[in-house]
Amino acid sequence: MVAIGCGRFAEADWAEYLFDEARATALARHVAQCPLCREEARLLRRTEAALRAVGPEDPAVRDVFSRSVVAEHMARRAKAPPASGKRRVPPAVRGWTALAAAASVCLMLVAGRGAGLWPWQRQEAAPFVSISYGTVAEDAQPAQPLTAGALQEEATFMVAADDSAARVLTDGVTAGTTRAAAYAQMAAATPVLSADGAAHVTLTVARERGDS
Amino acid sequence: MVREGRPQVHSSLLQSDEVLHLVDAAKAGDEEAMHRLVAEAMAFVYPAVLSMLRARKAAHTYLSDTMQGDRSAAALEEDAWELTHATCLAMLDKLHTFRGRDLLGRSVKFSTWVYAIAQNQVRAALRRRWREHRRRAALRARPDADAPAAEDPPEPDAVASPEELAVERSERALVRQALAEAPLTPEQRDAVVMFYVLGYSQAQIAERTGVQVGTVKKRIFDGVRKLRLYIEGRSSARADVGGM
Repeated sequence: MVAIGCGRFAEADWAEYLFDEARATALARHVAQCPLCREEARLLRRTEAALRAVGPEDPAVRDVFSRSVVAEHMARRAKAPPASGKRRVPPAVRGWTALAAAASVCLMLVAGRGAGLWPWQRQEAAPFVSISYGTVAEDAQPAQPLTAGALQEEATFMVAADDSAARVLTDGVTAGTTRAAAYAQMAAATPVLSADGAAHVTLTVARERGDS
Repeated sequence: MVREGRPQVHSSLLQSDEVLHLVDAAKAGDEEAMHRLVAEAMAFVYPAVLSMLRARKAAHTYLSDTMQGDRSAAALEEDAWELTHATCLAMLDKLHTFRGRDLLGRSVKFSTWVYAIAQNQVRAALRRRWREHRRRAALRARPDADAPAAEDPPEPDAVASPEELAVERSERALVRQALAEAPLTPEQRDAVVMFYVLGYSQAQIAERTGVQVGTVKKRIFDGVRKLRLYIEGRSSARADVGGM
C-alpha cells in the first residue's frame, strides 16, 4: 500500500492516532506541522464520519449484521444443554392441555389477585388489567398504534406489573372465552416476573372478523 | 406514559405471509433462512427501535447505556443498533415458540410478534438503566460514599449548514459505493462495518471473530485506509470529468 501522509510514520502509529489520538502524541504533533499528514488525517476522519452515517439499508450492513447475529445464536445453541428427549405431544392434545392448564392458572391468578397473594401486590398496588374487545380506552398502552375509539382486529398490549400506572383498559366485552384467552396468554408468558425483577406480560388479543 | 407508535416502515417480507416459509426453514435449522430472516427483521426493527428511543428522548425518559439522559443523534443510533441486535438474537432464540396462531387458533402476524420483542428489549434495557441510575444517585447522596465523577453535560446536536449536509450526503453515497467496490478483504469489511456502523467495540469484534484486539485494529485501519483511497480515486475521476 502507498505511504501514509509523508511516509515518516508507520501504519501502527496511524492506527493508534485514529483510535486513540491522545496516546499518539508524536504523530499528533507531526500532523499539526506537516501539510501532507494533516490532509491524510482529515481524509481518514471524514471517511470515518461517513461510515458512521451508513444505515441499515446498506447491503454490506445487512450481511454483516445477519452473520453476526446468526453466529451468536448458533454459539448459544451449541452451549445449551441437549434436549431431554421429551415425548412429542400431538398439536390437538397439546392445545387442549394448554387450554386446561391455562384455565387452572387463570383461576389461580384471579384467586391470588383477589387474596393479594402475588409478590408485586404486596409491594404496591397491582396493575389493573382488563382485556376485552371493542373500543380502545384513551389510556391504553399498546405495543402498536391504536386509535382511541377504533375497533381493533388484533392488538398486542404490554403491561408492566411494577408500574402502577400501566394498564390496558378496553370496553365492550364480547365473550368470556376471549377474556380467558387473554389471561391464558398472560399465564403462559414466562416468566411473569423477569430476571430483572420487573414483570413483563405481553398479551395478544384478537377479535374474530365480522364480530363487532 | 410514553406512546411508542410503530413508525412507518417500508413493506417488507416480514409483513407478508411468505415470511412463514422462512420461519419454518429457520426453525428446522436452515442457516441461510436464518440469515434472510435476520436481515429482514433488522430492516424492520431498527427504524422501529430508533423511533421508540426518540420518543423516549422527547419525553425525557431516555437514558443511554452510560446513564446520560441527553445524547447526540449518533449515540441514539448506536443504542438502536445494540437493541436491534438484542431483538434479532431474541427472535432467533425464541423462534420455536412462534406458531403463527394464538391458543384459539387465530392468526398472529410474525411482524407483530417481532415488534413486541423489540418493545420488550427497549423497555427492559431502559428500566435496567433507570434502576442503575437511581442506585448510583442513592450512592452519591450518601455522604460517606466515594463521590463519582460528575456526569458530562449533554452534547448538543451539531447543526450542519445546507452545504455541509449536501457534502455529507454525497460522501455517504460514496462510502456505500466504496463498501461494495473497494478491494477490502471480507475480514476488513466485517470489522469496519461492525466498528463504525453497528457500534461494536474492538474487544467485542475480537470476541466475535476469534482474533486478537490488535488484529481487529489492523483490519479496521487497513479497511478505512482502502476506503479512503478508493473515495479519493473516485473524487479525482469525477473532478477530471467535470473539468473536461
